[in-house]
Amino acid sequence: MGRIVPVDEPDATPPPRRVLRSSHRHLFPPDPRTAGDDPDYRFSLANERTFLAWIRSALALAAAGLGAATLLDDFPGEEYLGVGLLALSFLTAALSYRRWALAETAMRLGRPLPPSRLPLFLAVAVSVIAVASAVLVAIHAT
Amino acid sequence: MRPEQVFDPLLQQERTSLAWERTAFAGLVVGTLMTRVGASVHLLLGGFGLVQVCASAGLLVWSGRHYEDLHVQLRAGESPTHPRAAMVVGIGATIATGLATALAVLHLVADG
Repeated sequence: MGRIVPVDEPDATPPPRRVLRSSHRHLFPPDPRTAGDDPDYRFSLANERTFLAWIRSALALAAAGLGAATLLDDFPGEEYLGVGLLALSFLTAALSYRRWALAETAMRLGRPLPPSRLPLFLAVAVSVIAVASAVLVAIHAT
Repeated sequence: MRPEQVFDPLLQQERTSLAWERTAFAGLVVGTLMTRVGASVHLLLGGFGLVQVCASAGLLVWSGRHYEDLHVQLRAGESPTHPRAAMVVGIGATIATGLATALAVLHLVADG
């Protein structure tokens, strides 16, 4: 016997455009200046420098990935290594602004800064890629 | 008017300005590499890298001007944050790294 669905029951799956807008809001939260008061300018500038350091890390990973994909011709599996580094750079860049906005909002509201798993994730991912490179070099050498 | 002395003896704003400039330099390097990889697949794809180079050069010019503006903001007691610049750089870096990934995959496919 089929389940009777009430007419006014909200749709469980939102339309694709709303999902896209929601994920955009999640990755790129609105202007933090709409909440709370201005914190000490030194904290704001330190937060901005941390954000820029994350962006540079993403760009450095992208440069390494592009270099690996094109320059290391004698290295076995260099294309896959490059694509792996580039995917990592994309994730790092995509999450950087969110990290900055959440920290800035917490500062403005006088709350503790929210912890992030991004440093741990990046450290583990780069370590895995480094070990994979070492294994590939060892296989190639033998 | 250019100030005769810096606002903060710890030179926070100068360090932040240098961080913006280093980010622009990193963008220039990635743009150059994207141009090379893109052009190796198809000449027109190298255009993505050139756009990235131009955007990074624009960021470099802006960061120099922003350093001068920060003196005024800090002396006026205003917040030095620039959310629009942060969002533009965040979205720009996401698009650039996404395109770089796509170009590397195309290069991989083209090489067979």
